[in-house]
Amino acid sequence: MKQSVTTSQWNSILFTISLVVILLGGCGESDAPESNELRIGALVPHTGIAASVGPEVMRGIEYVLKEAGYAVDGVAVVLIDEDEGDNPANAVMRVRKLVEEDGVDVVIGPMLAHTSAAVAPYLQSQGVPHLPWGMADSSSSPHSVYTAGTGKGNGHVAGEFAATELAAKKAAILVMDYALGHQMRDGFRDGFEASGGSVVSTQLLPLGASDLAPYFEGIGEADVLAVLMVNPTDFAFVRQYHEFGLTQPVVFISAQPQEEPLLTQMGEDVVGMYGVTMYAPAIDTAENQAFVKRFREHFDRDPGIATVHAGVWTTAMVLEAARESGSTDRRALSAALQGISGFDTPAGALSITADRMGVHDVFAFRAEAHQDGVRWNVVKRYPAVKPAY
Amino acid sequence: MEDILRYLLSGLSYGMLLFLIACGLSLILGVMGILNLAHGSLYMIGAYVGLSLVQQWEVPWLLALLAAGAVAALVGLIMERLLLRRLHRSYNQQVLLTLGLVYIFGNAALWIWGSFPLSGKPPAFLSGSINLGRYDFPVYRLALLVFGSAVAAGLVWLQNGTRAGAIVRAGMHDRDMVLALGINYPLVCSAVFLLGAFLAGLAGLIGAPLLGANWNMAFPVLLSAMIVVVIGGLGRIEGTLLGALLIGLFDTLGRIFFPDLAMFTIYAVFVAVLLWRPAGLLGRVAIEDASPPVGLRIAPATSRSKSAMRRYAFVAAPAIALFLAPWFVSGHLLNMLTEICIFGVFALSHNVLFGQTGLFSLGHAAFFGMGAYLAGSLMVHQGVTNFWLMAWILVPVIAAFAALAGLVALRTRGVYFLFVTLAIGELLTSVALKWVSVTGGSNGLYGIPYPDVGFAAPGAFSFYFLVLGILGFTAFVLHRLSRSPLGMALQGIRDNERRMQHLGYDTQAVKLLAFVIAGVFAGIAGALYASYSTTVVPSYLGAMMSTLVMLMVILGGAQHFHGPLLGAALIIWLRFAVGSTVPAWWDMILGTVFVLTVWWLPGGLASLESRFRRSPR
Repeated sequence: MKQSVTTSQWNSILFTISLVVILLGGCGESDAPESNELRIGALVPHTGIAASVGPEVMRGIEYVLKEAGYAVDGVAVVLIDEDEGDNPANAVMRVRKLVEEDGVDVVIGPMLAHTSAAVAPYLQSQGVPHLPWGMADSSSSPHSVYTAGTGKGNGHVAGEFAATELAAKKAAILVMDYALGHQMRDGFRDGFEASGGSVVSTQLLPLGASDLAPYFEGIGEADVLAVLMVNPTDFAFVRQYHEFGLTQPVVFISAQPQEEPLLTQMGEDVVGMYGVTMYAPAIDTAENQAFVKRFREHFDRDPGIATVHAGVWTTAMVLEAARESGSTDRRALSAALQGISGFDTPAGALSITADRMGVHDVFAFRAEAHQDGVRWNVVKRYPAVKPAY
Repeated sequence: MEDILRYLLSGLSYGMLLFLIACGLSLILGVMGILNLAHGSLYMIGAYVGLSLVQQWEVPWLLALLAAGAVAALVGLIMERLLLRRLHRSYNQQVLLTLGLVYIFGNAALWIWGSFPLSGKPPAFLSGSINLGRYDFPVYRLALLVFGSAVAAGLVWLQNGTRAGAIVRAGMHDRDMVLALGINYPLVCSAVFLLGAFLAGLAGLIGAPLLGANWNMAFPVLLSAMIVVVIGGLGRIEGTLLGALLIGLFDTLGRIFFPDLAMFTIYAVFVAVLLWRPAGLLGRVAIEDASPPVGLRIAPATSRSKSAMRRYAFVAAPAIALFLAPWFVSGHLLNMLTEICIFGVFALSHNVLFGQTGLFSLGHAAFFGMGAYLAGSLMVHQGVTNFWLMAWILVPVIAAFAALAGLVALRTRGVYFLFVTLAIGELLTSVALKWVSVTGGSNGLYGIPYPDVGFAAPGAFSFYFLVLGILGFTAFVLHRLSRSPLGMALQGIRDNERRMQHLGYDTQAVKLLAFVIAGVFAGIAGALYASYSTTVVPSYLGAMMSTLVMLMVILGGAQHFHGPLLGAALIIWLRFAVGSTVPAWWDMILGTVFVLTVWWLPGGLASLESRFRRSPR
């Protein structure tokens, strides 16, 4: 009896200790960071609602690093990729791993607004610069550099474009009901009204909405339709727009979610609609065409908006900051990133303002049918668009 | 007039699409008592297969429609034969297993078809529109009305006008009697499952012009279908049709006339109907879970026989390890241990409902998320950072809400209870999305600091000890509860509620008390999680969070007090390990854990330990 009790005690203790050892040991330690390396952490979504964005961004990052031979001024560059998911707690966990175990000097990402807001306080406490793609916000770290600026700036351009280039007087706004949608709505309204137009209706769509019929009823007497839609609602919208016999011109206030492979999926339904954003492969400059050609050689596909903006620009800026500061020190990198001005990108010059926002060109595009699918073609270029608040 | 006709047609056609999606689920649940949460996945498979055939192989639309149905039916048949057959009327196991399949199918679809959604077009012979007032109206939507009506008529005839239907109806009421009459009822059940899955596949391609196809669509599709089925009432196709048309009309008209309230319309109708008629509008069978929850068939008597020394060793070893951990592990691992402890509190609270009382809730995250929002709001908006002050505010608020939610949910039983708790969580999610000034909307509340704990400066280190202390306190209180007269009453209700009523217990009041206790501890866990993640987002309130904690409880072992802690530790660790190595496999791995737990480890990890201890030496 005594023997069996003793054995049971040992079993319990051993079971518990084994579990703790397995749990702690299974997390995996990364290679110890070398001091003479530039370590870049990429925090992008590979799972969750934005899982399609992660691989796109990673291609952009890898493109720049391949072109640079994974080195900058003789210093080796190491890239560590972590999944942002769409859960703030997960993003915090991952970013701590990047900083504390992988010893990264800079973080590219996250891509979503709420995960970006979640990791900012921690990165601030560690003095790690980061380049999120999500919208700017007052809670961000002083080391956050928002290359995209604010959604309102893009929306302002879309409003101006609709009023001046499409000669619209009355606009109906139809945007997804989330933070970026609200920013775009406000920006469009300001830009449109500043250019002489008036907004006759504004409707917010829940994320995931698929039946647009009820919202068409609320459009009123508008002569232009300004929309911000994410997948799969944009698919439903372009189809139902035709089915219900709508005729007003459509402007995607931000065409970021409408990458060209998706336009091709939408087919003829989307042809003739307009979109405002920062990049498309069709931008007709020698620099961009050379970039597209080189990118195709690496990845056998065209670069998309997320690839270029969240991957290529940010990584190129990090290498430039490392070159400029001559250091991989986090604070030196942060200062150099914030001092970037007139930085050449395939879509024009990029500068960072004193409040860490990107100033860059914005383009109005028109969806047009081509031999290999539907593409965004440039209609008008708006140089050096400042972020609006 | 034409405008009103267009509104009505829009609502009815959307409702008919909901009917086509839901009728298979209704058949399978009503007839077989199988709650197939992977019904949305069968719909997704039908949509992908149909669209691929039409767009890539240029197969005629009608042929692709049949193929979409056939592939979904085949997948459904395999599910029924291999996995679901032995889980008759055991909803907790069915939910866990089929939810696992949702993750697996979703991840597989992501690999096969990629992350970009596919868009569907109506076939050429149904494209075009007719003019109806200010706008046109698509012919395809009119065809949906006709096709849906034909399917409904066919199913009603099958159910009420054929011998097979008579067998099915008889089996719904008394399965054993049908078997005793020599009828091959399992074969009938397989045929019904096949038909339900076939209809889901058909609906996939038919619905593609509206919903498209994407790897992440299964759960939203399922949610719509479940609401329709429950509102209509289980066991009657007419009920499903009525429920679908009502929801279609309410949803469409709500979005036209009350756009700001549109997100709540469906849930408001849902809760109102169930309060008025708990078995749905036309429901005629009140299906209840016929078996105790998974993992609860072993009486929790083993720990009673443990010697005091052994019990102390069992508690002291991990407690000492956890207490000393901050001095030996990196900040990243400390972070993981903090999350494990928070989910430990959450899982222990869930087990008060599930393991002790036998209540299978899919809305427990509502309390967790509410605690997170309350704490986040107090810290961000009111500047209250003292944890103990927050706890004084949070506990009564969560308790009051839990009592209210319990009063509503406990009016229902079995699968209806499951649906109502699910709806409460989703309703709160909608509120969080719309109430932007307080909750931050879809972006959530962010910039939430570590709380002031009083004994040390706020930071990761002191926060860890706060979390560890609260885990210890929760474990102590809930363990005492399980051995108290109240705990015994809860277990009595779990094992045989009717007997407890005959013994004079007010079982509703006892269950309500359990609801409140579980809700309060979940709320405290949520408050801690707000500081841990620095952000609170609407998904903290929703069904996915509820199912995750449910998995932790069952994986760890609901019949053992420490089981939920083991489950929480394993799932959080798994997420750490997988996330750093093969993140794109996470859904597949999580889904597999769901399935394997039901299949091979219904007693949970803790039962492995017992088995190991009991094995002959």
